[in-house]
Amino acid sequence: MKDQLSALIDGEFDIDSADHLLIAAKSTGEISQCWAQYHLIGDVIRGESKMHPNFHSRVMQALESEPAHEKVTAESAISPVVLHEESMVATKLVLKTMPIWSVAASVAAVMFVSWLVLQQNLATNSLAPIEIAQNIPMEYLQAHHDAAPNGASYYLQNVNYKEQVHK
Amino acid sequence: MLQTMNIEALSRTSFVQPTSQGYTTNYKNMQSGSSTSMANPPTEGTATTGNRELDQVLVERAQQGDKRAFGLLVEKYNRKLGRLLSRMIRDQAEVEDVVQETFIKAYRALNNFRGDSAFYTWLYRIGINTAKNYLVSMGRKPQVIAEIEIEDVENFDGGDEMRTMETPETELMTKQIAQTVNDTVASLPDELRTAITLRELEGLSYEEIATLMQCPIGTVRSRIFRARETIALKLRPLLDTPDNKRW
Repeated sequence: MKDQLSALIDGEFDIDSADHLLIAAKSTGEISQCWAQYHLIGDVIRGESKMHPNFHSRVMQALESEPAHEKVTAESAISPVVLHEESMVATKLVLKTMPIWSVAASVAAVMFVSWLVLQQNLATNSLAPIEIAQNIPMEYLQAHHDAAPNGASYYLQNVNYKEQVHK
Repeated sequence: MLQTMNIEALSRTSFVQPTSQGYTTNYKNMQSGSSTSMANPPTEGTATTGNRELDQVLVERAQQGDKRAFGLLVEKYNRKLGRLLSRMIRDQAEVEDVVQETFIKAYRALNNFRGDSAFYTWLYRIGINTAKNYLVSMGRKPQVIAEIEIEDVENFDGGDEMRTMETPETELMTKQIAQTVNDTVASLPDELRTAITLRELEGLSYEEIATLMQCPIGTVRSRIFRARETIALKLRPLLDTPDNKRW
């Protein structure tokens, strides 16, 4: 198992088959020690050994007071209860822009309803204006023609004509 | 590609040397020599930054509440991060404080990490910003910051790192560890020493090492493992003190 861990550290072991190694590396057993020691050896060979050997424990102790992450879901992604500052910034942004989205949603709703009403009107008045004119009864047109003045004289007035002024 | 004569020279090299600025490698000096240079030297980043796929798996587990998975990343990257930040901060105790703060910030922000970049690139960026903020808060001008670009971080060799002020305890411990590793590597059989050096210093893949050493990949894997185990065996008495117990 330790030779598999060695290969895993080098990226030479199938990661999909490495569950047992990762579980063991996270425990407090021998594999866990090997994970630490193999990395230390590599770092020392490359001259990266200045940190205190116990530094890892110090960081893990500091992390103990940090809440563990929860599974990232669509709901938690926009939840106002976010544990981390970067996420809080994102949440604030969402909350800040919510009124804008509300207005935009309202405008969209009004436009949609207007469009529906317009469509209904078009459906009921589906006849074109020229068709309406063609449907006017001939009797009405004849009566209109008869009553109308038939010469330009109707519109002419004598130059002496004066409107009577009531005193 | 390394020539056979270079491999032999490499296997004879005691490559970890304590210096006033930490530990440098004779092999790097060998590389600078014309007779031993590689035609296509691999980047150091391959070895120092590990494999991205494994990091991603650990990050995803930590994102789902597995704090110990994040602990494995801390174990893997704390010294690399410390070495990087020692280019900006002189005092080793301060470096350790900033590294710790970096890991805590990274953990808090972990859900924002989507794997667009490598985890170490993301972590190092947080580290550099944390160090910068720290120096500003202390009223010090972060002069070195402008010279550190995140693109350079992946392959930085730390050659121009600042001389840090280590605490006596840390200095003693790190020197003892380095000396133990150095002595043990020097005493390894040639084939183990060559395999572990090509892997850790040059970042070569098992396949490349197998080609160079003219042996099966399985043999390379076995040699590297045996080299690590031999060194770890010598290190354990040093690391197994009550102060150095993990968790």
